[in-house]
Amino acid sequence: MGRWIAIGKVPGWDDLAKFTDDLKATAKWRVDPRTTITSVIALTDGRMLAECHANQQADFDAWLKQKGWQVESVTPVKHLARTGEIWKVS
Amino acid sequence: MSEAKNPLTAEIKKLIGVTGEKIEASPPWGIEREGLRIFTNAIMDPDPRYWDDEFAKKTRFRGIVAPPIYCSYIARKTLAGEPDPISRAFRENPNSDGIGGVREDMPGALPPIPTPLKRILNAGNEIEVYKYPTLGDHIFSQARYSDIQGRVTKDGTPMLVVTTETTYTDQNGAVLCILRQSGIRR
Amino acid sequence: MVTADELRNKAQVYFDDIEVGQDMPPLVIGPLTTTHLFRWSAAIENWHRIHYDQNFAIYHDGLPNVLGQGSWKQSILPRYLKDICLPDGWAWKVQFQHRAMIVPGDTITVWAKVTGKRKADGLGLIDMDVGMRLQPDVESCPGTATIVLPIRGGKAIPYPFVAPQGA
Repeated sequence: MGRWIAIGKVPGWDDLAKFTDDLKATAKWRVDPRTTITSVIALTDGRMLAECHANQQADFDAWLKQKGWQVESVTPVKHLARTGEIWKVS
Repeated sequence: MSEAKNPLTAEIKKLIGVTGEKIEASPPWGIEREGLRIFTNAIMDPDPRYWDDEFAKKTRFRGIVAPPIYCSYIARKTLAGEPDPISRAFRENPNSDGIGGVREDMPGALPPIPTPLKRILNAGNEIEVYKYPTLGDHIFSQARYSDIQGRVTKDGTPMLVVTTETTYTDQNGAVLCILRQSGIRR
Repeated sequence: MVTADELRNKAQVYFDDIEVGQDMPPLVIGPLTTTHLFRWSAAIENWHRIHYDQNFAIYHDGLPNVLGQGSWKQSILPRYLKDICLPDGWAWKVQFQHRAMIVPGDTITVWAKVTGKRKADGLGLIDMDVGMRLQPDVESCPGTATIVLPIRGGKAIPYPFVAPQGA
């Protein structure tokens, strides 16, 4: 299982209502039993950051394409810190 | 080739039918209202048979009863004065999952399965209910390996399916419920 | 969700009135939240972090979110069957497997479909397929159950329950 961060833009997602519609319901972020979009962050410059864990990057790529992303980069996560907890990912 | 890899060894087969010690699962004061209140709220079951004395007296149960398999949860409780299990779990492992793994030295525990297959997945549960506990009842539990099967999947993965049966009885020996849990080890 | 008064005043369903293929009234629970999961963990003193610590669930166990507890599901199916049988029937047995994970945001529909009717020792046994379905139609807990309903004009279902011979 791997974890990746995508950076890019999605038309409409800087509007909170559209962002909510497209990401709130479980089926919108649980793509399948192995692929989960665990977070999406909308930046004020219009870019989006999305984190995905999946068996392979191709599963994330498919979701990004389906959602209409203009992808700038997709990069595997190495390790991360969240509110003082450190997680080694790859 | 597949037969040679079947993980059900003669040593493991001997465990079928092995029964653990019968232990008291309830706290020393037995089944009581506050525990029932907390539990029935958590399963969001407002049934007045669990809390309304006047109504419950008129039912076939003749008084307050506990939900069908309430007795299977009460053994987890940490009694007052016992060493804190949460602190212990994190002392042993700062990255603990919070429960510190299954303690094989717990009273009533069955002997461990001697297998290198360590990953456990829940394969299913069976529940038979015969009687509901009432206020003041003391609950006893006894576990048994009711079945152990071994097989090799089509892709050559060895696995064991271990079924543990736990019988819950009250202070008079009446069977309350029987729970069977099947776990896949691979 | 059902109310205390509905359970207090529930009318008996009889064996005679059940048809094979019939869907029993479902029980809808949710949407579940992390708070519901936390309450269950506290109620049964299950401190497993995958049920309330999102970072641990996601980054340590690779789960999609904190998970609904299998132990909670295990109590919901007997509770649902108990409600169907009230006041004088008996929810005798149920078996099920754990399939789709439950996460916060899920709404659960507990369901039962009658697959057979039979009599044993003067008691009416109803066999059913049961489960807990999530939106959108994903099965979390497929299983089967046998409940015992009174037969009109027949004998009372014993309590404590005694399994009928040959059932």
